[in-house]
This record gives sequence, C-alpha cells and structure tokens, in this order.
Amino acid sequence: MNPNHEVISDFLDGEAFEPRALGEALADPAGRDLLIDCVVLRYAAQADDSLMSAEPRVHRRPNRLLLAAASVLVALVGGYQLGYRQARPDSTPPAATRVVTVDWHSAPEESAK
Amino acid sequence: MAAVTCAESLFTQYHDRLLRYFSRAAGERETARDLAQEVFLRVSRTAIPTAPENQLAGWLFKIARNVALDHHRQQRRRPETASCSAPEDAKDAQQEMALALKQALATLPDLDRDVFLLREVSGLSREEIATACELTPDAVRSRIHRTRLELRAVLAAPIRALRQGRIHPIGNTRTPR
Repeated sequence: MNPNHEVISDFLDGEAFEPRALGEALADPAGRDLLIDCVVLRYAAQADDSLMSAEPRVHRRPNRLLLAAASVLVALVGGYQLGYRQARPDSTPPAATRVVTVDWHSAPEESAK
Repeated sequence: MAAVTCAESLFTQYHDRLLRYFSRAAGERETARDLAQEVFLRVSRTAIPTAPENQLAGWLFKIARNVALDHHRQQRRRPETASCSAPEDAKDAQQEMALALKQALATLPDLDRDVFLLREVSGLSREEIATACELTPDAVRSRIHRTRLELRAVLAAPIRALRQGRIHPIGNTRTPR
C-alpha cells in the first residue's frame, strides 16, 4: 500500500486534499490505475440493483385468494345470467286452460242470508 | 444545516440511502426493505436527538448498522436460508462484477464492509461514518482506502473487464459527497 496514494481516496471522497500531492500520485502510472479502478468500483457498488442485480429473481405465484374470489364472481354472474334467461317473461301470455265465471251481483245477497 | 426532528422527515430524507446500504449489506432487495422498516421502527421508539443533519445521519446509520449486524447474526444461525441464493449466473461484465462484488463484500469484516458501503453506496461523509461506526475520521479515512485496495485486488478480473467497456451514468443514485 502506497501511502502517497491515500490522497486519491481523499479526492474521490470529496475531502480536503493537496493538489500537489494528487498531481504527484497521478504522475505515477500505478496511481492513475488506482484512480480508474476506484471509480469503476464505485460505479459497481452504486449501480442500480435492477442492472447489477445478483439476487435470483423471485417468480411470484398468482395470489390464490384472488383466484378464488374471481372464480366465485364468475360463478355468481354466470348463475344470475342463466337464471335471468330462464325466468324471462314471454311476450305472449299462456293459453287459458280453464274459465271460471263468477256472478258477483247475486253472490253478496246469498251470502248475507 | 436544518435540524431534522421528526421520524417522518427522517424517513423521507434517508429512506433511499438506507435501502441502498441494506441492499448491498444484506444482498437482497426484499430484505433491504424490511431492514429499512426496522430502522424506522426503532427510531419511532426513541427520542430523535436535536442535532445538525450531518450528525443525525451518523446517528441514523449507527442504528442501521446495528440492524444489519443483527440480521447477519440471524443469517449465520440459519445457514440453510443464507445458501438459498447459491445458483447465480453472470451474463455480462456488469453482472459478473455484481456477483463478484457481492461475494467479496460478504467476505469482508463487518466494519470494513460498512465503512465502504456507507461511503460508496450511501454517500456519507467521513465524519458521518465516524459517528455511525464509532471511529475517528482518520481511522475511517485509512479504513476506506485499505478496503478499496483489498476489493480492487480481489475484483481485479471483473474490474479489468469493465474497464474494457463503457461506463454509463448511474441512474437514480445520489452521488457521494
């Protein structure tokens, strides 16, 4: 570890540094290499997780509760539609099977007796 | 600097930085979210010190470090869950670097890893890191430099590969000071 290269870390970290010392460190090819490597390292450490993600992707299973609720809803709507079609009133009334005649004028007098 | 005195403004101000720290320290985004929540849970149970922002960051990340250390202790007790994410394939230089960095960070001593992450990922100043890690700023300085050199040596191959390509700007990430 070259102690003269610590000024490169100072510079990278935005801390106080001596420009002359930095110049001397960067005059050394090893110092320049260190600066570039540290920048690459910073890039890697900061890179967006989605880009640099090292974790396995979790494939989420469909929510079972949601599926069950959707099934119930489909069954309810389907049942309603079926029932509605079967119970739908026809435009023509059914033919009469029996005719009942009521004599309503005489009926109250007879019942009063 | 303005003093931050309520948990809500702390949450707004530091949530992303905590999330990034935990993403790297814990290795998984879901876990990172849980750990960030845990930090604010702990904050809500305690009195927030009246301090300038730079000292407050150190105080908050000290709590975050404790949460991360607790998490690591729990993981060590349950090695089977820690090894669940073993099969990983790198597709390009960036992913190769991501995998190598993740592995290298896992082998670092806790303090070195945290000092590095608080600097490079969360963007804390040396003074803030010193507060968070209970070190002197000079100790932080030399530790950051030493950790950089260690990681550089371990990650020589993926760094070389990345140097051959093009570095794109990092999106949605706060530039460290």
